[in-house]
Amino acid sequence: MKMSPRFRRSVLRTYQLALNFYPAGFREHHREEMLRCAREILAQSASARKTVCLLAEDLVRSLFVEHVAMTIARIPQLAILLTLTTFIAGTAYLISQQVLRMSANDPQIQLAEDAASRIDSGGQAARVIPDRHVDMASSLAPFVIVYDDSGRPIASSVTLDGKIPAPPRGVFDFVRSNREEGVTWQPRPGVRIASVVTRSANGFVVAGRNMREIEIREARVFRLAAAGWLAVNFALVMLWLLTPLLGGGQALRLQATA
Amino acid sequence: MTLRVAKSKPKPTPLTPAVFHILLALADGEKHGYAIMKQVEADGGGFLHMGPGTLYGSLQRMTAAGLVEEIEQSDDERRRYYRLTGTGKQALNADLVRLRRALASAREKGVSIIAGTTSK
Repeated sequence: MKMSPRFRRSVLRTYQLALNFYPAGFREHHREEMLRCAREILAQSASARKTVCLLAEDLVRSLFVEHVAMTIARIPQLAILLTLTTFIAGTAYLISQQVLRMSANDPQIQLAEDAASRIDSGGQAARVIPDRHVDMASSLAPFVIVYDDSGRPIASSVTLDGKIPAPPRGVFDFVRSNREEGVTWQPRPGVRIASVVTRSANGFVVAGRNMREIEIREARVFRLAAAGWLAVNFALVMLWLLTPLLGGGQALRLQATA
Repeated sequence: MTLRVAKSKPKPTPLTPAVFHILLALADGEKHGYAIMKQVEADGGGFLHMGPGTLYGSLQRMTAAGLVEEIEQSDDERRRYYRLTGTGKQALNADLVRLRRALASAREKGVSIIAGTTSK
């Protein structure tokens, strides 16, 4: 089938439009020459169908090849960006988690130090603990336990399974020489306690509270950080994929050095 | 142009068909894109067609690899010409030697080549 001038013009126009899908650098450098070649092929073609098929097949194949080549050459760039965003999101999460965890000890520090001070001033252990007795597993209220110098409980505002729990071994020895220590303590699976242990006259004061709410907040912060990380990385990958189509000469330089 | 077997160590062969045919098309002198396409078609006996996308993509990578180079033409500035570099000539020589060996080996095994097809 012989090609009419009108059909030739419309094929050329379509080809010209399709050239916009090449990476920007490649397009800038070769567009005119490719168009000129296509024009000459069409002008000298004896078979319209064969020529259009040749141009279309070549276009699809080379678009794929050029984009793959460009993408492979730019993978290190993406890896650096993703590493950076992961580091930033990870650092932001760790800082938030530490701030939450440290602030979880604030009421206990005050409670333990006040109770120790009152005992040091001659107060009785039973009178320095809060009036309200709570269950360690279910209540979020802060509690106080007073131990003697050998680590036996003297007074407590908390129980767990009907007993007064004891903090991990070695904590009292450490506090004996260091005055105060913050301890995250798990008296039973599923029950985590943020506690502060303080030295008092002839004994120790432990003030603590259940970490359930803090851990819920930590999980929320983690979800926020992960969602932010995903959103930023999705945007970065999209931008990274589209840059060769929108960008300028830099894309070509990147490809040429691949 | 006379092609001689390179004395220095050639680039790793075989070349891809597109690269081989572009190097072969440029073996007798510099050409612009469309002329390379026509030459490739002629060298392939009319069975080999190379479109503009494949041609310019290959030329870009070949230029980066130092196999061909762009040259400026004062008579028609808009048209870009390409020619073989020393490395390009070596690569083409090495591939032709490989093909000659393969052809010799085929003949030794009694494979006869008849008009675009092979039989034994």
